[in-house]
Amino acid sequence: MAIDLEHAQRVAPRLRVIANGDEEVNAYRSTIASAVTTTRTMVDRYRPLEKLRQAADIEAPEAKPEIAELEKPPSHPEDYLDRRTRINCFIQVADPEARTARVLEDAPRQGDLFLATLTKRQIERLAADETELGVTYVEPGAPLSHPRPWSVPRRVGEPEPRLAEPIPSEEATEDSAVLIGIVDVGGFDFAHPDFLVGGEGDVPPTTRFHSIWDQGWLGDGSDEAPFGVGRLLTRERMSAAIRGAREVGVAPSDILPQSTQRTGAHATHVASIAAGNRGVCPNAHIAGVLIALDESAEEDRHATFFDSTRLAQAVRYLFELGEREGLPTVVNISLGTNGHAHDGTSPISRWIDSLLMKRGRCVCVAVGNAGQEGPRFEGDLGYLNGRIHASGRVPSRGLDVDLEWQVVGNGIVDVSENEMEIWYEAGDEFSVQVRSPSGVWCRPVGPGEFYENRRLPSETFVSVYNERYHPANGANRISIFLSPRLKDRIVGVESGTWLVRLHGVEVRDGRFDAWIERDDPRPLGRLGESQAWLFPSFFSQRSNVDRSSVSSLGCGRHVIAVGNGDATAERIHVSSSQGPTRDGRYKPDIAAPGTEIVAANGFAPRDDRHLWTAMTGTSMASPYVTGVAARMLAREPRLSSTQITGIMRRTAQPLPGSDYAWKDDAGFGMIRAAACLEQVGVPFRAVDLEKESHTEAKG
Amino acid sequence: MKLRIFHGGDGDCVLLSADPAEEGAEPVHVLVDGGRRGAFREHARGSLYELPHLDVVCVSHIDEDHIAGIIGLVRDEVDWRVHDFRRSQGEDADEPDFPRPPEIREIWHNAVFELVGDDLEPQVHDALATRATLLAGSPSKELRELASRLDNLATGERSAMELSRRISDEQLGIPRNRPVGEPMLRDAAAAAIEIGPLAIRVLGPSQDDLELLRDEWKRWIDNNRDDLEELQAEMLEEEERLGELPSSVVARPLLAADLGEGVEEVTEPNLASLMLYVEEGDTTVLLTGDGVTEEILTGLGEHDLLDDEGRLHVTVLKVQHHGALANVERRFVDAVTADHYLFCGNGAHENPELEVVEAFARARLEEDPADPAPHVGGPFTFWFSTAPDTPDLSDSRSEHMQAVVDLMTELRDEDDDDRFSFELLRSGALDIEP
Repeated sequence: MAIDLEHAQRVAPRLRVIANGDEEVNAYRSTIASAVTTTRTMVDRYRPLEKLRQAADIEAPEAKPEIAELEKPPSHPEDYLDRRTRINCFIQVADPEARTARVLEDAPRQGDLFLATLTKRQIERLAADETELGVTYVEPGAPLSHPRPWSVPRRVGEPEPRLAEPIPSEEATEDSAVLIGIVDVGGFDFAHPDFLVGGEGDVPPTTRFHSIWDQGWLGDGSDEAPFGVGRLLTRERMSAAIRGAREVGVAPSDILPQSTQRTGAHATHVASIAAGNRGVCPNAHIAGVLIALDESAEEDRHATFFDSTRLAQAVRYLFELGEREGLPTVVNISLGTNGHAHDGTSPISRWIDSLLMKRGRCVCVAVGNAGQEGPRFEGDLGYLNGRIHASGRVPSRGLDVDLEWQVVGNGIVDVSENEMEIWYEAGDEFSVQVRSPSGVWCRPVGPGEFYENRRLPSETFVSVYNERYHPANGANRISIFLSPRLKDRIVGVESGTWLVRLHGVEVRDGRFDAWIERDDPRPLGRLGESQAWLFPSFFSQRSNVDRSSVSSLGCGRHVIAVGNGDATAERIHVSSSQGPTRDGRYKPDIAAPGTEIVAANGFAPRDDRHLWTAMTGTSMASPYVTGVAARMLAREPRLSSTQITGIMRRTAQPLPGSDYAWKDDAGFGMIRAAACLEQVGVPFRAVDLEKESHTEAKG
Repeated sequence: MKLRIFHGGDGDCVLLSADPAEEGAEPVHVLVDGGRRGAFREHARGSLYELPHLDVVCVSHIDEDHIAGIIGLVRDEVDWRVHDFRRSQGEDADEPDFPRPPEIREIWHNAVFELVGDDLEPQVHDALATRATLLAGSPSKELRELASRLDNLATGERSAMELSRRISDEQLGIPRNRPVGEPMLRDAAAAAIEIGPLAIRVLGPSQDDLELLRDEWKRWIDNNRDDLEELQAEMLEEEERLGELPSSVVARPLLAADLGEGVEEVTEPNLASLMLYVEEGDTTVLLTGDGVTEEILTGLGEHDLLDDEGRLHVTVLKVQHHGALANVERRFVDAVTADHYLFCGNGAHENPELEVVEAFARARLEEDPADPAPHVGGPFTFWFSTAPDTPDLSDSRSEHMQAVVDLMTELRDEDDDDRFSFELLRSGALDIEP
């Protein structure tokens, strides 16, 4: 697509990179990227998965280390015809009430943001602002990452009740007036005993799940599903499945399957911690949203969105559901995003913050497991996932700072797209220059300049954008993309160390932060006897900075960001991500037990050996806080998310040896559930000293 | 009794059938292993699903090339039940596009990690998965093959879990093992299990085997942990020194040379195959799973099936572990002879191995005419579950199977008495009717 250069600043660089690809390139992208889909016809024509797997065997040619004028690939005027590539986008507008753009007529809106699935042509029209909306910025949904916890390799028994501090039992029924929403991956095992109630003798039990919205479902049912996506499993249908399964001798999940149902499912474990019968809030109503982010669904990836716009829909759906049911609602998100400014201004953060303007709502987010610098157990490669942040300072005008960016090779082929975002304040001006591992220097890009899709001799495509005054926060952003060759034949991104050189053009402060945005590594499948991977890039040990690694989602202003505390060792788990946010705010807010947490083992045999499983990660800590927040809201539904945050921060217990000051890994300390519950009425009880003294005087 | 061999990919899939002893009773069917999922669907489903019932489904062990087809069989039954349920709810559900599977009356299956110990199971799983993931990226072909075996095993372990769950009372409610709910172990003192006219004896595993196995797995897990921890430390040191990770971050430390003792040391312990000896009158069948020589001969000895010279002749021998050299010792070839030798394999990992096939053949072709054993001088046939021109066979596997055929042809030409013949399965099934 030829987006008019005049309008270039209205389209996010990542979207431009996608839009610059033709239908073939985007057929591959649909398999790799979360916010892009294409049709079965395109997949049949280009067979992306097959070719990506074969890429593992293709050797990239040796490149000569010379400064070369980069080759620009021919443009594709016929790309206007590519109507099959569809991209999920956030559209920021200046006048949200106007709504005159046809493509946005039915699009959901939150504040100044619309959500829409667009073709390239539609994006171009919006960018050209042929409407009265005053489109400020169009950006694609961001990849969601699944902060993988790891199973603890030991046999576990039934979990103890979650709350160490006892909650008076006569108050327990109070806790049913609340909805807990879980947005997660892997499948909700709604028939696990931890979610069943009733049932005796011949009467089968029923599930406590109110509903499960399966966004990844590609069969029938989308007409009745929220936003016309996937399918909705109602309690009625789930209970019928439990009954029927018993009658005919199969599993309930056979009768009513979800798009993914993995043994040891993440979603099931998380839901069990927050709201299971042995969970923190065992009387809450539960609603699940299953995001289609799962490696087992490889064959369907081209047709599935699993980006941050899907998360936006999920959160909105859950709050609207709570409203319909007349219940305050807490949403748990044990997923993350890496990209954007890490200052709460990403579209998904603004979307969620806008939903949290109403009281009786709360969102808890896992800060991520990127805190770790080395492997935490044998064979662990997870720490490489953690190397996503670098920061530093260009000391003065005319001086340079280098960042090292590593792409793996040798037996592992990186066919994913790699993006680095460097954010710096508006007062500074940097130019940026990229050097490939084989030594080819690309031309420098000054403030307000860009080049895109330049082909290096090694067949890697480089795009660099140096944006000024980003519409979200007024800061400057440099975006660098390394893309594999995805046309005719596939060549992985040149492996080795890429150098990113920042040069001070005008320096007043000079500080910058850089993040690598990408999907998590995942195996693509078997090629002969070996495995092809999407194994994305990371910062070298030298460049990586082990702070401010809190997931971008956790940097939202009104969400509660939760770190992983090891309750036994009384310290923060080594893998838990650290704050603060780029703009220096206190995230994580709080820590909760997230280490070796025993909870429901989804879709496993229903015997003592397999009913429960232990996992570790911030994914396990966040639902604990969700459960506490739910109990608070059940008692006092007038609380706002900011008040809940305040109470949790105020009552938190600093770890042994710490003072009350905020810490970058533990926040304000470990959550104290009972203390939180004691405080729920405080915001609504003001003491009128006049009256009081009057009374005293009288008495 | 007759045997029907199905093409099970690189795995085993064999059906034993016998007419009833009494007039009017039902015939008896025993399915031993299911091969690979795809192969089962393609080749076994058709004729197998014409049967009204399977008296026994036996899973020799949890390797994917044995268990996967059985999982497919059980899932097919689930699909039909779900379909029935939908219909009963008045839903307009399409019928599954395959016939209803036969009724399964019992399943024999030892979930090995359940047997070797409660606390070991999750550790084994973890070690397997980790190891497989790491090795998959290795530039060394041997290590990648090992990775695929480990991956196989990790998948097999999940399959075993699924099978347990499927056949539990909560779901299909199929009784497991004799005695029900107990592991299926060798007990030489017990009477043979009678399935219609078939008398079946369990040759292995034994309680002792399991205990040894437990130690072996424990050691393997510990070795793995030490190995990997060491490598990881080296990797980090190197990074510290160079200031960057070697580009081959995952692969490099896993080169064979770095593994110290070599590939053999990291090979996983065996899986305690369920091995059976089946009799109907004069017809005898020896089913060896993926067992090794020692286990099989010990089992036969304990059951007093070997003669004074330690030998046994059976009607049909299912050769152990797809004819892999590691499982067949010289003394086995000398001790056990058969009228029919069955090799299940498709050239994957170069199985059946040429040395093994040749050794079995030569043992018969070059037998001493003065030997008084009754089988001496008798005819014998080799059966192969995969022909070189089987559709969808990869080039390297097809080449291997062609090499087997060439060897067989050569040996047959050497045989002046016309005692030796061989048969190849191209698709569907092949019947051995002794």
